Amino acid sequence: MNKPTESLKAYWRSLEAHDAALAGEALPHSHDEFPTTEAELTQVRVGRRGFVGLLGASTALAGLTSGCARKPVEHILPFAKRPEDLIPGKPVWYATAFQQGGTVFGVLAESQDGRPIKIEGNPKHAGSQGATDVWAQASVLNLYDGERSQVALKQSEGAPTELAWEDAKAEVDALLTAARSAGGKGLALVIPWTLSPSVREQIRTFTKNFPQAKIFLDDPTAPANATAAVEMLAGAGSRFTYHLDSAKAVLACDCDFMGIEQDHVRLAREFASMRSPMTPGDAMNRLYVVEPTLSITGVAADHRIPLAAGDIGRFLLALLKQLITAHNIKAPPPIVEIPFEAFDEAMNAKIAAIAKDLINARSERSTGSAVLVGERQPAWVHGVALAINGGLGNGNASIRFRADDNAIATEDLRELAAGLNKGSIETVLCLGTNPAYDAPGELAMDLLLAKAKVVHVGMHYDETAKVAGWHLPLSHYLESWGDVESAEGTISICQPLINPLFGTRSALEIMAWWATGNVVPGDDLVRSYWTSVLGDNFSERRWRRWLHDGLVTGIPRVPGVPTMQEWAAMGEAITVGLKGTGEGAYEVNFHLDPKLVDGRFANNAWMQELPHPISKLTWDNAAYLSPATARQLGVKNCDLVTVQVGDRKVDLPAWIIPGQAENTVSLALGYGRDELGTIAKGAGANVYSLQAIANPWTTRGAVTKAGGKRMIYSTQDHGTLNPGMDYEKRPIVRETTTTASGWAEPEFAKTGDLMKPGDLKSLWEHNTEATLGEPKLTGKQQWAMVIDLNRCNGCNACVVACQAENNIPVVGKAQVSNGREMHWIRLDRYYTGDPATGMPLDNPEVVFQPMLCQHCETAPCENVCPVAATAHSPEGLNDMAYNRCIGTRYCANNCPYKVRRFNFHNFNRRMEEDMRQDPLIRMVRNPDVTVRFRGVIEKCSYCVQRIQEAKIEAHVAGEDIVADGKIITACQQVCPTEAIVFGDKDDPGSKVAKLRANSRNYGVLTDLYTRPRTTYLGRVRNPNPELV
Amino acid sequence: MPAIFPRWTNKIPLAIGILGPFIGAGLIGGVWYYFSPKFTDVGYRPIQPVPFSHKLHAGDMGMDCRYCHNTVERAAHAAIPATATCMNCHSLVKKDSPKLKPVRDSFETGVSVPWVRVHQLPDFAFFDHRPHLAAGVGCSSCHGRIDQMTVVQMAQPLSMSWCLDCHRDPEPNLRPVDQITNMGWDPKVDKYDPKADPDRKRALTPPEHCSGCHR
Repeated sequence: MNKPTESLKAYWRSLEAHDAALAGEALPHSHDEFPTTEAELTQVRVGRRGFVGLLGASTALAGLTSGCARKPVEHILPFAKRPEDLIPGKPVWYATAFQQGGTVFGVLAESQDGRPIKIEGNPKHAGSQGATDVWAQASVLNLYDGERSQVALKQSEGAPTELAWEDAKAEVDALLTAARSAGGKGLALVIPWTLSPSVREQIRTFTKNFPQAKIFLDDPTAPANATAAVEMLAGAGSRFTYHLDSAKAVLACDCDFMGIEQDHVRLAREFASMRSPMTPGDAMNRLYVVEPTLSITGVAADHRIPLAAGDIGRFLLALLKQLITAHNIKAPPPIVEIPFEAFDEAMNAKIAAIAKDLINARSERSTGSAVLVGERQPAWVHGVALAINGGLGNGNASIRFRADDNAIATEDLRELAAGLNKGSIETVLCLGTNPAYDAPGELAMDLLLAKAKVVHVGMHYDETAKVAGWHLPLSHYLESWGDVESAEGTISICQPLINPLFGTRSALEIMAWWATGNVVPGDDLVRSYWTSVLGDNFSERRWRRWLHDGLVTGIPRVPGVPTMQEWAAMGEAITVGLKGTGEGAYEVNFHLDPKLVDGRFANNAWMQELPHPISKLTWDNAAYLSPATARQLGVKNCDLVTVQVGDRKVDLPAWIIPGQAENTVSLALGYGRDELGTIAKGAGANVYSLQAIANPWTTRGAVTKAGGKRMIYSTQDHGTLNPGMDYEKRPIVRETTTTASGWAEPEFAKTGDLMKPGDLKSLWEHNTEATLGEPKLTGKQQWAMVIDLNRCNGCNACVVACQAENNIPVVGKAQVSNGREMHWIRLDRYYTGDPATGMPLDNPEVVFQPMLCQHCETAPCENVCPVAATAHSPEGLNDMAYNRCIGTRYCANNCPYKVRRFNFHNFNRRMEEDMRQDPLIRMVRNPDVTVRFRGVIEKCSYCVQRIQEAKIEAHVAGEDIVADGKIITACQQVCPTEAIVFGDKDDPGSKVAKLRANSRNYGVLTDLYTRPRTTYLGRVRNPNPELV
Repeated sequence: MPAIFPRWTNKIPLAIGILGPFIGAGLIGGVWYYFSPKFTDVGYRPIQPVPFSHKLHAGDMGMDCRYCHNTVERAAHAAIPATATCMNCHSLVKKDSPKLKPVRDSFETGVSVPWVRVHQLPDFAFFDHRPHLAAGVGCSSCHGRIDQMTVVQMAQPLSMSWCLDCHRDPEPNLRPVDQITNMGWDPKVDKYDPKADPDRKRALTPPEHCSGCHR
C-alpha cells in the first residue's frame, strides 16, 4: 500500500537535486551543512611542529595579557545643550520619501541618537502602505559607504586633483556663464527620471536661462517605454498606473510587477489582497504570466508561458485578435488591421483560454481584468496593451490615467550621442546620472563623452566621473531636502535625518545653482517652491503637518484626463516594431537586476550578498539559459559562454534556469563595476556594452561556448531540509489547487503529516526532573508566527530588513561558497513537478518558502547545547545567549530546519576592515541588538528587542499583556504582501491565533515532535480549468 | 647503587595529600571572590573631570534624582544631564568657581564634559530603567546611598547573579512607587507589602530567561 506521502509532488531546488530525485538518490553532500573545506585547511601552510609552537605561544601570551586586563574606562559625553525632544537611546522616526525610477515610497526613517539606521514604510503613503522593498531597506547602507565620493575633483589627462568646493564652483560657473551668453547652445543636461516638483521647477528655470540647452534622460529604471506609449497616444505629460485591487484575471507580459516594475510594492499588496482564501469557497484572482526568464511574478503565476521577449508584442496582438473575433470587444481600427505572424495551435489554444478568462473576470460589477506590460517592452507593445485594456473596459479601474502637467520633456541618449558626434554638444552636465556606464554599449558613450567638457555630479567616482572634467559629490537622500510626487500623484516632502557626512550637495541644490547661479540651501528651495504653489494658504503649521505625516495635502489641482486618440501613429509604430531588431540565432534580453538594479547598489554589501530571488546567486551575474539551450550549447553551470551582439562581446558564466524561454539568454545589468569600490570589485560582468541602440532591452545575437569556467556561487542547495536516502518523503511545502466546488483537497495541509498528532510521543515524558523535562511555557503570552505561502512572493525584502534590524554581517563571495552566509531568513525556492512525468524542466511550477528559526516548543537545538547557551523562554521563544555560546555548533547540527548560523571569522569586524567599511559602517548598527563576535551561533530571535520594548512599554503603563498588533517584527513590517503575521497564539482574538486555526495552517517537520511556533499557510493555486 | 632522590622526598606525596586540598580550596575561593565583580567592581570610584558631589546636591540640598537624570522614566538610560542643566543654577550660583570651569567651557563651546562612566554593564546586557522604576525598585537599591557619596562609587556588583537574586525574589526590594527616589527609605524599617498595595496594577513577573536581558 502506498504511504500517504508517496503520491505527492516532488520538490527540488537545483538541477543536481532534480536529477538525484529522479534517480531516487540522495543529493551529494546534502548532509553537510558546511561543505568540506579542504582547500581552506591546506591554504594555511603550517606543519605539525609549527602548529604546536603556535599553540604554546598563544597560550603563553593569553596568560600574560589576560592577567593584566583592566576594565576599560568609558566616557559619557552628554550634549552641552540637549535638543528638545531628543532622549538619548530612544529612536525617533522622521517621515521622508525614497524614489527609484518611477517608484516612490513614503518612508519613516529611524534615527538612533542622530544616526539613520532603519527604513520603514509610511502607512499613510499610497505607494508603500507601511511596507517597503529590498532597495529602500538597503539604501541606508549606501549612506555609510566609506567609498562614496567625498570631495570635488578636477581632471585633466585622466589625473584627478582634489578641489575645494568654492574653487570647483567657480570653474563650473565659468563654463555656465559662457554657455549662458551663447543662449545655452552646445549645453546638455543629463537627468534621471525626475519626480520632484522642486527640481522640475529649477529645470524650468534652467530652460528659461539656457533656452537652447538640451535635456536628456538617462535612467535605466525610468518607465520610459510606458510613458512614450501613452504620450504618443494622448499627448505630452500623459501618464498611467496599474491597479490590481479589483482585477480577477491578471495577465502580466514580461512584467515583474511584484519585483521591480513601477509601484511594485503597491501592486504586490493589491494582488495579494485577493490571493489568500481562508475557506475553500473564497474567491481568488488568477494570474497569467508570459515572460522570457523566470521572475518572482512568474513564480506567483497560476499559468506561466515562457516566451521570448521579442514575441510578447505578437502575443498581445494575437490576444487582441482573439478578443475581437471571439468576444466582440472594441479596438481602434489602425491596430486591428495590422498583420502579424500567427502562433502555433497549442499557443493559440492558450490565448483563447486567457481571452475567455479576461472576459469572464468582468462578470461581477466590482471585478475586472488587467493586462500589464513590463517596462522592458518597447512602446509599441505598451500601445497594444493599452488597446486591449481599453477594449476590456479597464480604464479607470485597473489602469488609470492622469496628466502630469509639470513633467519635463526630455530627449533620448541617442540624440546626445548624435550631438556629441557632430560636435553640436560641447558641455555635458550629468546630474546624478552615469551615461558612460549605463548607456547602451552600441553608443560607445564613454568615448563620446571624453570629447566634451563634462561636469559630473554623483555619489561615487564612477565611470562617467572618470571621463569628466569636474566631479562633484552628491548627497544621499537621507542627507537632503527635497520633495517627490509618486506616479499616481501622492506628494511627499523629503527631509534629511543627518547633515551631509562629507562635503556633498543635494541634486536639488546643484540644479538650483546651475539654473540660477546662486547656491541656496535645500530647505529654502523646497519651502519657497511650496510657498509659491500655495500662496497665502501656506503656513508654518501646514508645513509642519506635511513634514510630520510625510504627505503634502491641500494642493489645488486641475485634473486633466488624457484621451488616447493617436492610434494611427501607434499603428505605424507597431508595424515597424513587429519587424524586430538585431540578427542572430539567440535572443539576448537584458534585465534590471533584482539586487543591484542598474548598478546603483553595486557597492552595497547587503545587496551583493543577497541571494538572487530565482537563481540564488550571490556576488555575481550570469547568462541565464534554459536547460535545453544549455544542452544544445554543451554548457553546464559556471561554464563560460560568449554572448555576442554585433561586434561587441562579453564572456560570462552560464547559469541554467528552468523555465527560461528556449533560445534566449537573459543578462542582468548593474555588474562589472570593478573600479567603483571594494565591494563592487570582482562582482560579475558588465553587459551594458552589449545593448543595442534600437531596443536596449531586447536584441538578437550569438551565444557560443567560450571554454573555461568562472566559479559563481548560488545558495540554492544550502540548508536543505531533505535528509536524503532512506528517509520517507517529508512534504515541506504543501499546496493544492482550486476546483469548481472549492479545493482539490480541502485538508491538503494535513495530508502531508507523516504522523497523526496523537501518535507523536514526547521524548521527555519519562523524565520527571523539573529542569530536564519539556520547557515550561508559563508566560502570559505565547509568541507565534504564521507565514502565508499564498501571499509570499519571494521578493527578499524580509531578508534585507532582518539584516538591517539585527546587525547581520556579510561574509563575502569566498565564504558564501563554503555555505557560511549569515542571513537569518533563508528564502527557499523549490521547483516542483510530478515524478511520474519525469519532472520536466522546461516550465516547472515554483514555490517560495521563507525558512527562519521555527522556535520549536521542544527544540532539538536546546538539549544538545553543552553550556545551555540556547534555552527556552516561558513565552515560547528559543533564546540565544551569545556570550554563553562556546561554538560547538551541535545546535546547528541538530536543527532539522537548518536555520542556525555560525560566525566563522568575526564577520562584523571583517566588514569594517577587509571591506573598507570602517568606521562608518558602525553607524548603521542597531544599538538594541548585540553585535556578535566570532565563534558564536546566531539565528532569528523573533526580533526579541522589539518584543521586549513593547513589553516594557506595556508594563510601565500598568498592563499585563501586550495588545495584539503592537509587536511587529522587522520581516513582518517590511512585507509588501502582509504574508507574515506575528502575535500571541493563546489570545483567541489575535490575528495569529485565527490563522493558526485555519485549515491551511501546517507546521514543517512536525513529525519530529518539534512543535514549531512558526507555521505556514499552505499554498492554493488557482488554475484555469481549460488550461489544465 | 646510591639513591637518586634523598630520603625526605618520600614525604612529598604525603605533604601534597594533606596540603593539596587546602591550596586547591584556597585557589578556588580566591578566584571565587577576587575575580568576581564583588571585588573587582564594588567600590569602583573613577576621578571625574568635575568634582561633582552627589552628597551636596542630592543629600544636603535634597534635590530629586530626576531633576538631572530626567530621562530615567522615559528611556532605558538615566541620561547624564546636559551641561545646560548644570548651568540652570550655576549661571547664578558659584559662577566663578574654578572647579566649575569645565562646565562653563562646555556650555560656551558646545563640547561635552567627558564624564567617566561608573555603572558599566557589558554590551550584551540590555538594562532598562523604566520597568524597574514602574515596579518600585528604588534608586538606592542598586546605586546605594548616593546622597552620602561625595564621589560616586559602585555600591553593588551589578553581576548577573546579583541581578537574578532580585529577579527571583523581588518583593524584599520593592517599595511604594512614590518612594523610589527616597534615599533614606529602608525596607527593614518601612515595612511594605506589595501585594497589599492598591496602587499596584499588575503582579510582578520579572524575567529570568536569557532574552529578558540579552538580545
